[in-house]
Amino acid sequence: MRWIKFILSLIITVLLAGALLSPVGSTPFAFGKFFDPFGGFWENAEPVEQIAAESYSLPGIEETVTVKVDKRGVPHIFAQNEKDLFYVQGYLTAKDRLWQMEFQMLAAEGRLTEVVGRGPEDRVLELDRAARRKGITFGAERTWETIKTDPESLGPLEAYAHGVNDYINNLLPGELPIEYKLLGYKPEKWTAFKTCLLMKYMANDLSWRSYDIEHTNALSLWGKEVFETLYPEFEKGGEPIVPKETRWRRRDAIPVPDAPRDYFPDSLMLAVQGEPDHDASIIGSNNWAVAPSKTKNGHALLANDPHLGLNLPSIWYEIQLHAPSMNAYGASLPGAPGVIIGFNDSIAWGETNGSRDVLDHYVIQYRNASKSEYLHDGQWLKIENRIEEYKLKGGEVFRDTVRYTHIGPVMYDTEFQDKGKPIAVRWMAHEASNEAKTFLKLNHAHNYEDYVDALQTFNCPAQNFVFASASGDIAIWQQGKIPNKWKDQGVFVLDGSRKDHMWQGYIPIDQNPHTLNPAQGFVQSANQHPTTALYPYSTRGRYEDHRGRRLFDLLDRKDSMTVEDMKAIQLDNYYLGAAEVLPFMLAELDTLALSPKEREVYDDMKSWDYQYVSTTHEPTVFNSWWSKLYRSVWMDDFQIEGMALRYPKNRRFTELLKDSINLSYFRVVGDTTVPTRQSLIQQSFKETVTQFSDKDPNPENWTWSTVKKTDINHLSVTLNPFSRQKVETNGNGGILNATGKRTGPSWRMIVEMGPTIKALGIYPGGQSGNPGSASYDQFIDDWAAGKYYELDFMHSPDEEGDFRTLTITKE
Amino acid sequence: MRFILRFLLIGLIGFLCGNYLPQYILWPTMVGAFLVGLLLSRRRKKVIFGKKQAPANAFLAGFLALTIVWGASAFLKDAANASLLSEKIGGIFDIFLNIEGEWILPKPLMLTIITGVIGGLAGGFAAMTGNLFGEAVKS
Repeated sequence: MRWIKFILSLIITVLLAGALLSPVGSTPFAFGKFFDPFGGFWENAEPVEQIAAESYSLPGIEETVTVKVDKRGVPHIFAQNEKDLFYVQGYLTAKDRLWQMEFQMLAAEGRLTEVVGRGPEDRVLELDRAARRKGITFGAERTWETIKTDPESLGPLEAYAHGVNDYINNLLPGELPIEYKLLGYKPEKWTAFKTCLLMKYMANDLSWRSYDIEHTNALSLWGKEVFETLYPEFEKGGEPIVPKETRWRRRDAIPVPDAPRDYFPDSLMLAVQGEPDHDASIIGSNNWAVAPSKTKNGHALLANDPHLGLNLPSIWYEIQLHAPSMNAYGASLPGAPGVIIGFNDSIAWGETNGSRDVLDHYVIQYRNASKSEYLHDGQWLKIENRIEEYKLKGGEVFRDTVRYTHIGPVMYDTEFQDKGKPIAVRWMAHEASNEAKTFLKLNHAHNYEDYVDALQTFNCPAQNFVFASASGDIAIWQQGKIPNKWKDQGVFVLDGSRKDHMWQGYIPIDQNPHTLNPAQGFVQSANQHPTTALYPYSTRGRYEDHRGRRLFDLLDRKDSMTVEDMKAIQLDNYYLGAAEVLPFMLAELDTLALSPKEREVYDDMKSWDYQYVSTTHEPTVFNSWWSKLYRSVWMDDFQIEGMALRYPKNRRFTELLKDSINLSYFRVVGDTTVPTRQSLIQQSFKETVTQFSDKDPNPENWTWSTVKKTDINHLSVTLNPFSRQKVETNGNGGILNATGKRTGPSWRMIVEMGPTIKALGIYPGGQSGNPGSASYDQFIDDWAAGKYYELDFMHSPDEEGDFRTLTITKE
Repeated sequence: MRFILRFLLIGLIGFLCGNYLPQYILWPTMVGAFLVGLLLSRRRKKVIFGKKQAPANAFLAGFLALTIVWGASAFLKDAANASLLSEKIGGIFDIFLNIEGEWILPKPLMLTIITGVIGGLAGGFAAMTGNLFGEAVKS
């Protein structure tokens, strides 16, 4: 009897322990571990009050390193040599951001399914397959082959990886970032190769864009003339990145290849239809520099705000790196040594996206159903297969064959997002490159020559590198390796069987668009066209126009500028797109036919200053009115089942609207009565007022924040409580303050390059990647309110200030 | 007396495991509670249904000791953290810890109680099993 009791009790106890210590049902973690107050999630609940001084010893350093961590959690690292410096950068970045660093690389490698499963409707698996079919890892592997033979870049990359790994090795189970505990996996070793991957990850974020298929469809449907009308290469009256009057030395220009005469992409490519994305031009950035002659203090000013997807943990990690040979401060990317956007004692630099088209699509013709050979230049070439395995949660494996041609991987075929024909992609990110080296050199640069030298190894994604120096020089270079294309090459889908459709050489780097100390007294970029049509090479790309013209205007109209002026420009909420079309729309309205409510709204709109301020209602009305008008004109022509088409840009529609009373596009498909431009404007206005007054009769309450709030989502997407959502923000896409629903200024920086450097900065996140830390989302409210922090650019660890001190000695 | 002894010993083991073992402590703590139950067991003359049940006594001692150690540790960490993390973790368990979208108790408190109960159940059952094993061996 006693034994029976004991055995019963033992069984219950073992079952209980088993249940608590192993994952149950759909949860990936064990309750007995997760709730363990000494090792589970409670261990990630960081005390709000941090201890003032810490010292520890690490195996990987040679000499003692002192780190001053300021009130905002920014480490200022003082090392005796650069190897120690990058080692400690790796160590501290991992301490704050390990999960993020690794998760981003899982996304780049197409391995997300391993940690989050295939996702609802296989969405995560699709994402992973796309990442691998694009050839992100393929490009990183080629890059690694060159970097590993270059000690100048390999040294910092390996020191950084060593630091990250020593952090991982010292990690107790309880100290694992909370995401690992929730998703039930462990960190892998970090490698220098992963920094190469990170560079390709950024290339994917910024240069994987193309309308080749959409353009081909449009050309097939409507012909060349309509195509040029809808998508002109140059915008009228735009302000390019390099000043309009720039002359291009044509003496050493290389010839542009001749366009094949017998090529006309006449076959329809089918693709899944998306929503109109005419308003999606939100990913982009602003940067500029003002010459001393145009500033109040006589020092060059530089500003940069890259607009990227906004997530937590933030893409940026603020840091200062000091060694006898360098002293750089700014925003770093977790996963890469050095500072990416920042300044040192001599120069400041920043980047915006160059938006050049470096991604082309080629139709592949297989020899037969075995898909082992394809036609090129009259010969059958061998396909190289790369078998991709996707580990799914629960031990299952999904296999996919990616076929590589000499052009690049076959991205689309019957097995993946079929476009009707197999299509291979040629993408600049496939090539060996060394972008990390550019940043390492910029960190050390003293002057314009050093800056130009640093840019030489930067291939992809093409970036507009702005520059200002303490000695008063300002400059901008659009740097990237850009194919020297024949006219319209890569605007449409190309033919993979033809030799003359291949990329034939590159634009010489010294002929990339650039300017040094232009007469206008400033340089600027906002993802607009880099040059005028006088530039000798093809500049096709995906450009934004309103922000650039507004930026040019604000910089041009004022002299004796200050840091405060720079802030005002970054926070500028004026929408040029509205200023250019709203007066026309209002004039077209038949005011006698308006109801009293409509009349009231009409009067409000007439006195609007085109500012997108979250507490006002005019942006709401304009946005909705414009969107309804846009849809009423274009949707019926563009919404073709199973066919992807590119919608015209807002700017282009504005021009077409003003120019033509009876544009054929105004006609509704299948309707014989032709509505007039006036009737469409009237109709969309009435619908807008009805839509909002149905919800709330008082227009004052239709504030912009009821339509647009900003969500700063946790990277995992699934762990939503770690997100900060519905943050009230001014601005919108196409506006200098380009804060949209999911994207926006991810790092606002302003630097005054005087004898002592004055710098301001802020980003929508916090230094710690731990959702259980007070600094996780510390900066978000100040960022949304348009505030800045003064950056403490130190020269010695002995400087006075409110710091935590970490002393790291050799183990 | 034995109750207090069991309670104090198991509590001490829980506390020491938590603060000095690097790994997750559920399993070692359970072994500890089992041993306490075993060592403090006595040969019983006859089986009585009623008062003074040693196994129940062991269970209660183990349950209370670890509920308090786990719950108090969680409570202290939560207080130092100003409930920043527990509010978010609560959001993740939202689906099955609330009724009609409303939490019965504040999220941090709820998670603290769950933590205590998990530790308590493990400690209670381990101690009881230890006690029953002792009784069986010694009889």
